Amino acid sequence: MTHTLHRQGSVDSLKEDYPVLIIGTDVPLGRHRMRFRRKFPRIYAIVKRTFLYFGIPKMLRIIKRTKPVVAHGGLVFNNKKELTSYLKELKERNTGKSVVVSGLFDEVNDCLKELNLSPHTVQFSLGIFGKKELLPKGEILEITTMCGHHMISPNLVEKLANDIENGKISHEDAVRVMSKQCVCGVFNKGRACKLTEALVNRLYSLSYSKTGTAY
Amino acid sequence: MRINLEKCIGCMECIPYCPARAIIATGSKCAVDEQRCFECYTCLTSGICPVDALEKVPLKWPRILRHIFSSVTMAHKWTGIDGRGTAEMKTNDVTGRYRHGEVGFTVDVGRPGVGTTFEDVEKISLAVAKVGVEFEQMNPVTKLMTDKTTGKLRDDIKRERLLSCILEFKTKDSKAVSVINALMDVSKSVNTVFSVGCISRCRPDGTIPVKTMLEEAGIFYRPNGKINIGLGRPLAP
Repeated sequence: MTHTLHRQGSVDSLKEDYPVLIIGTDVPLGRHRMRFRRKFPRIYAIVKRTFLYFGIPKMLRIIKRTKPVVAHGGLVFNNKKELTSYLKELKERNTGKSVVVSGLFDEVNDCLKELNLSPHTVQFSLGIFGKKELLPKGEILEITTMCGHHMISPNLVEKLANDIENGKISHEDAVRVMSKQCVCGVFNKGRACKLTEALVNRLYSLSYSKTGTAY
Repeated sequence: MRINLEKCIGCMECIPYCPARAIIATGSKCAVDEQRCFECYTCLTSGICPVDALEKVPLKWPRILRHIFSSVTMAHKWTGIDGRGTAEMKTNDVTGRYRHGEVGFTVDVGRPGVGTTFEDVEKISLAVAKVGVEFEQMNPVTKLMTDKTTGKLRDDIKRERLLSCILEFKTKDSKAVSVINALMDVSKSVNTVFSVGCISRCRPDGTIPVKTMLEEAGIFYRPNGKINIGLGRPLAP
């Protein structure tokens, strides 16, 4: 899967978005959240404290790839300091599992330099090709592309924005509804809250046309 | 997926949850447009229906492909991997799939959020195969090819719709720009969108060969992407 590669948004917004995937090729079947908590207690505590979505229960699914067995887990950080601390711990533990960090190249490379690590392999996003007129509005894509499998319907985001505007639901609850659709645990709830707020402001501002063109 | 009309109370709450826009209002009830439906079960798993009117329909070949590719919770029986592709560069430090002198590509057809048919997928696989690429053997789309050198897919699956699937392949450094040009050309003839990823092994001095190549060719790439930080233990020295 290309999960976290094609996340959209401005550079400023992406500075609060660092998904991390841990992928093992030698872990036994039956791993689950509690086991992760026992094995990485400090990491678990850090993640819990930062509020951002911790998708281990859903994400730590076991993929039987004949042999060896592959399992993976995903989580998201909203700042470089926590990311660096997490990567430092992973480096010290030397588990032998692959670790993939997504985000702005310049920012992630800063973290790696601090830990005396260097990229092994990189993947660039060359963007979207084809009939772009079929795409949802850019502000909606910034939210929906945070789901690794794109299971959050653009219509749902628009409907929730409407519900927020009409006072039927809070931003936080709307984001909770969106994140329920994402099975891989890389949906950044904190960033989604900010983006949803911006979306509501733009959709319902008088200076915004129904076709999505800002005046 | 279908909606049991005996149970449906016409609240319309399920409509926005469908990534395929396949749930439509029909008078005072809702119905599923079977042609549009990806069989991703997003409507069902959301738990939004208050009367459990959303029901699965037994899926036969080739319609079952819609569910396997779109829902990502079911493993492909021919690879044992769930989802739309493989671990590609994510485990490259362990597997060594992409080596120095090679460039990997991932083409997410139908992404983001538009959906596709295998007919469009084949247009892309045929186009890149002409340049000379090696399709990933463990990728589920590769398994649906009748000819892995030309990129031709099975005829009986072409009309099936799915949320997205991934073509994975690699080529020599020298052919990378030609592959991207082929993707640009074929993008004019597909009835969907596709997102392209370009993979490169980093040199020991930290430089990234494909980055220079993209810049020299004037090819756009986003400021964010994915980095395998090299903590994996190689399977072979």
